[in-house]
Amino acid sequence: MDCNHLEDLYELYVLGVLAAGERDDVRKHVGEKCPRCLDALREAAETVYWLAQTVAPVQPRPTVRAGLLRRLASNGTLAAGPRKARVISQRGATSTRSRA
Amino acid sequence: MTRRSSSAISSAPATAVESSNPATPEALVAQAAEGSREALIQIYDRFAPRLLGLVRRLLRDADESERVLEEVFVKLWREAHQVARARVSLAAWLTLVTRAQAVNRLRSRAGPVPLVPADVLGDMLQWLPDPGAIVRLDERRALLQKVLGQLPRPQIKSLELVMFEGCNEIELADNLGEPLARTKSELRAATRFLKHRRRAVVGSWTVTI
Repeated sequence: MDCNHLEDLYELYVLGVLAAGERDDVRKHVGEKCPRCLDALREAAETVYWLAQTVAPVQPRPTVRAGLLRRLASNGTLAAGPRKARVISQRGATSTRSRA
Repeated sequence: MTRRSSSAISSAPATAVESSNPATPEALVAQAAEGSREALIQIYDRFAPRLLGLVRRLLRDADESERVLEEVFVKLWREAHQVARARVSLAAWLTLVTRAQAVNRLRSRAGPVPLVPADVLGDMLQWLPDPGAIVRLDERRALLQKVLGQLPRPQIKSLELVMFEGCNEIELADNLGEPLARTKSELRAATRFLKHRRRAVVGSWTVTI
């Protein structure tokens, strides 16, 4: 399937509502680093981001922040810091970094 | 790797000095990637209320929503390197990951199949917007709100069901009592309209809103 037939699918792909066949069509283009599809998905992500901003904020209880801090500090894996793993750049290039 | 102390962030939210000259979210995630828990907590202080609003809209359960919120920030901590290196908008990453996790939690109440498959989220670093695009959208939030008001009511309803109720297209048709083909067509018309109007609002098209 070429990009013209995917025109109306990008937002729905980002929202995760496409059926498997159409989802696979978009994913195939992403896998091939199709620049047109990647640009269209960037725009779709902006639209979904914008829709999400229509919801009123809700202040979390202080216990959530405290619990997160506790978890970052005490859990062995998390306390070791973020993982330096295989990295995919915005342009799709890959590189590998080892843990410092 | 330089490990930073977390003692300064044990309880207090961002200070007045930080808020008068705030680091960008992307600068903070780069610091978090180097092991700064302080940077991660600054990100939390800045984004958590908006993200929790989104989760609560989907789950409608305070405790469960806060658990999802915590998981999002644990995921960010684990994946900070990838996010920082991809140079994408952190606000967009947080928003899409938060929604996906909330939707999947919502759907796990009914069955094990996630609405947003892991492989869709897995390729997002290739196509998330850059920080500048999201800043431009944030600056024009009021105009964008106006655009939503221009959508026909049935299309708004469809968008809400997909965006905030986690419906897929088949469930959307069931919910609206409409044929699937018509529902799909309406939903796609709505997203097409939003795409074109968003382009106008951020300045790449010239249209009077």
